[in-house]
Amino acid sequence: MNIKLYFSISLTSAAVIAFQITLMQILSITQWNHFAFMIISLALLGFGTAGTVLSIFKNWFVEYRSTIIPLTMILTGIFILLSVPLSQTDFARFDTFLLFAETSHIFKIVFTYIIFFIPFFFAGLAIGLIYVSYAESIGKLYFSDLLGAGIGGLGVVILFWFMYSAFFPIVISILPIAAGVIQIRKDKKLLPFIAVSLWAFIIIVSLIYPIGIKSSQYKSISKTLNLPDAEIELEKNSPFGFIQVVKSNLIRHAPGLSLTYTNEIPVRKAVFNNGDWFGPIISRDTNYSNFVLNYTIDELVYRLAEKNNILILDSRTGKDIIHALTHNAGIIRAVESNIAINSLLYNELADETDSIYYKKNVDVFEISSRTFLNTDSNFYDIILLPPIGSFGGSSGTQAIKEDFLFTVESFNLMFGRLKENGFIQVTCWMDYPFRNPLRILATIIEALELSGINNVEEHIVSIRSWSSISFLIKKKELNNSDIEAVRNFCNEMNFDTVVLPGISLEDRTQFNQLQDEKFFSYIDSILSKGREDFLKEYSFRIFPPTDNNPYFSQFLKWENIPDLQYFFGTGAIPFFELGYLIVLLTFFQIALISIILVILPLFKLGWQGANKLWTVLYFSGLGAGYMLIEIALIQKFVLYFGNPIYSAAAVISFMLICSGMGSYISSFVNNKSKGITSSVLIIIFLLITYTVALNPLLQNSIHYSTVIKGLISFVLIGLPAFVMGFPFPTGINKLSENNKQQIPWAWGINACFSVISAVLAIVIAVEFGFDAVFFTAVLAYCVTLISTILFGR
Amino acid sequence: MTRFFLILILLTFSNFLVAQDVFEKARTSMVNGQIKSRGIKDENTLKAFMNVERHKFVPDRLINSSYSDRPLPIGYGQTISQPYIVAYMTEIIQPKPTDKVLEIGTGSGYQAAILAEIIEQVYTIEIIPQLAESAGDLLKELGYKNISVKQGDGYFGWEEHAPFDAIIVTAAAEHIPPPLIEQLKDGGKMIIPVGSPFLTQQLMLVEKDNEKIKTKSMMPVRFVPFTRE
Repeated sequence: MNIKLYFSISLTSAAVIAFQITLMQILSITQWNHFAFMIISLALLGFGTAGTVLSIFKNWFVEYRSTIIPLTMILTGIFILLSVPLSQTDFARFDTFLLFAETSHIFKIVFTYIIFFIPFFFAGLAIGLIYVSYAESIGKLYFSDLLGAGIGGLGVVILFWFMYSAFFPIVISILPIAAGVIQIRKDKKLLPFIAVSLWAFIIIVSLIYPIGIKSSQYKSISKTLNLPDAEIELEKNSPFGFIQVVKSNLIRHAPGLSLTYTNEIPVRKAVFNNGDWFGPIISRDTNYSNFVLNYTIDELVYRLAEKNNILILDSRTGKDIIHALTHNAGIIRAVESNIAINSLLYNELADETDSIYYKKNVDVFEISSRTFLNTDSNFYDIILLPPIGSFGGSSGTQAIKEDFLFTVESFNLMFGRLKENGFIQVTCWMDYPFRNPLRILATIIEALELSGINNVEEHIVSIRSWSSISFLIKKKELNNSDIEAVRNFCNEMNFDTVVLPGISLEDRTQFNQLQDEKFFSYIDSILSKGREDFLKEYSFRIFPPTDNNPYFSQFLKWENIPDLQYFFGTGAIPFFELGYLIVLLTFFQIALISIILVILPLFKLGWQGANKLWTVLYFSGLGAGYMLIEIALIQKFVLYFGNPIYSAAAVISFMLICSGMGSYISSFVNNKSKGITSSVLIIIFLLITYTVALNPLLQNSIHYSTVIKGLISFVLIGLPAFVMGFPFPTGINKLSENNKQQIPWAWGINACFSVISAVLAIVIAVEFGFDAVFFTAVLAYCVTLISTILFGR
Repeated sequence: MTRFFLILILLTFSNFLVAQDVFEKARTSMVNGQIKSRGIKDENTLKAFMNVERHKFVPDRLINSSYSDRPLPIGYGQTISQPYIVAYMTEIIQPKPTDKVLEIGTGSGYQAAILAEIIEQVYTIEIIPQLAESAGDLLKELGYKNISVKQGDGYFGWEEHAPFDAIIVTAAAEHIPPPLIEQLKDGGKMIIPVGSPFLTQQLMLVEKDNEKIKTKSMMPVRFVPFTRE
């Protein structure tokens, strides 16, 4: 077989992965992460569909393979190039929230699905046809496929630093077009010329008539740009998101500001990440009495605590650093993992922010806040957390975003890092129905109890403004002077106390009344011994999140949906947990399509005989198991690397490369059945070992340098991945000996179950935690093993 | 020929009458089914809702949904609020015919039109120039002489006409602008929705009494009101 074929398959795979990551960012900018997730999953079904089509029309495709392989590769490139501009036309540009208001947006989203589906379908046809045609070399082909995908994934992450994602398709489309061109037979000299000309023509047209990427009109960036004098001052792309700095005299940021404040609010610029609000650019105001943040509930901690050592977690655009500097704080440690934002504060925005990052007493750490807590050994007077939730309620758009900073383990770590008179402060928006404040209080109490504190109510203060609520946790018990200072501050600012030793109902509603005063009885229930019963009975899921289940913003309890419908009306339900519902919708939609795609070829292949049950069980188990492990490992390594992007890049790339190596080695195995059984047994053994040993291994090596951690992770990820590269090509090889016509079907089944599992993994993690995802992966490989033992002869 | 034109005119006119009749029925049903039934009792408010033709304030493509029980998009990330919310906000400030009310966030102009049916003078400010212009034109076309529309930053209120008996803020804000509190008469009321337009809106009532400010969160709403029946 020609070496060029391996090269072509690598190039096509690289393009597929790179395009997938590109779409994820583009959809995060235009819509929200959840829709990105939904569409990418659907697009990947292109591979499953290609497998089904190949199964049904196998003979025709194989007969004309010398034409079809290059043609489908070239078409992949052309449609990669076209799909993003097409998705931004009026026919296809949908708006998430208008889906519930205007029917036309349902058609638009369907059109968007189709647009993104096409390039994946053609790539699937090309790769699938190569597998079918050259099944005897499957080990090496699969190696080229995975190696290409690994390099494509890493390559696109690097590309994020240098280019806007709207231009990525131009670069990415070169890969499959090149892959196709080198496959064109030498006697067809005109075809390469036509392909390249077409590609160049589309680029020229799109440069003359550019279609920009436009965010939903309901995203923060669009609303801000609607202000008459608003203009984008600076744009920067990075793997951490697309950052925009917007300037307008009408931007003012003072969340939950006291109604006693009568001065100007001094903000003129704001930073947005992927179109979402990221933070204000606040110049330091040297006049203490006029500083706007001194009139918010975040000020309370400075009235109570010493200010020698302050830790600011997720410091974002430095608002809290400026607040601390205003109070002449001693040493300030600020933790912010978004390198692109930090680069702005070090460079372009340094002057405007009073060069806060250059202050001698400010140390900046570019790592995730939770990983910092795991590795830090200093003690603090004040630990500040970023605000929770969004203004007026989150609507569930963050429901499936894991957040390790607000888990019981995290609060326990913070509590351990407090000086004797130190305070932790966390603020969240008042929502309704009440969820965020109740969950954070439950989490704080559980963390304190874990630290051996029995009289938790003697350590907690909570105050409330008209819009937000703040919780302060003191290392030692609160004393009379603390209590007096809290009362004085609330009287001065028109705030109310919510939790304070010796509090009355009048204290709680002195300035800001609530229509639903049951909130206070909920707070008291959480503080009481009957907490567990209350948490079980409450209409929403407000159990404290843990490292194993760190979904702070997922509040939906399935069993209480009928109650919620009764109280709030059916129409309100999607808006409580929009994000999670979209994921579930995706799951059912993909599961349905996948089942159809798996069943459809049986009309051609026949329903009986020839080990079909083995093919279905074996390849579905492999597809599901591989994807579940990949997602579980990404989550496990987020804390280790301190950054979700590094974690995803490392896990995906290491897994693909090592599985590719495994696949290559598998081609030398002679006894297929024995090879399959042994490799699957080793995988199951390794996964069971990992469920017990991986967390301690990661925890004990988290303090090492990035290079050492990279090596450790390569071994930990690579070891199972290497063995996981064996069963797929060996299975295909086995089919090539006995049931060659089933190869594309098997390949399609594998693709479909990978996609289903990508969504299923999130659902399992939200409902039962990451360990359950690992366990489900073990079950999936058990299905593969049992199918081989029972039907694999 | 004359007969043909007569028939054409008759047909056009009868279509117009039928459409008018349909909208009037929809309006009556909106007032009875969405507003009265949820506890709005103020006669002036109910009368205003019967008088103002809501379908003239929504984009043409959504005209058939004009009287449905939900907010509708009007472009620029803005909405015309759900009828019940407009009614609730109107009733809660207890407008008297002699009152002077400031509205921040004209949007489509519907809330201003409702107020103008009840009180002496409405001042309304819209920050988005296109919306300010279209709402101003529409209100003029509909014959409202007691509404003054200004394009500008509502944060600073409208100082030359202050103080106001009531202020209605229709655009969600994350802080209550200090100048608005200053421009509120002693004993005056301000109603402000807190939250994002398409997701959560929590209506907040701000009252000024002897220069003391008190707030009360009144009603959380989304597409449908959260009535605990």
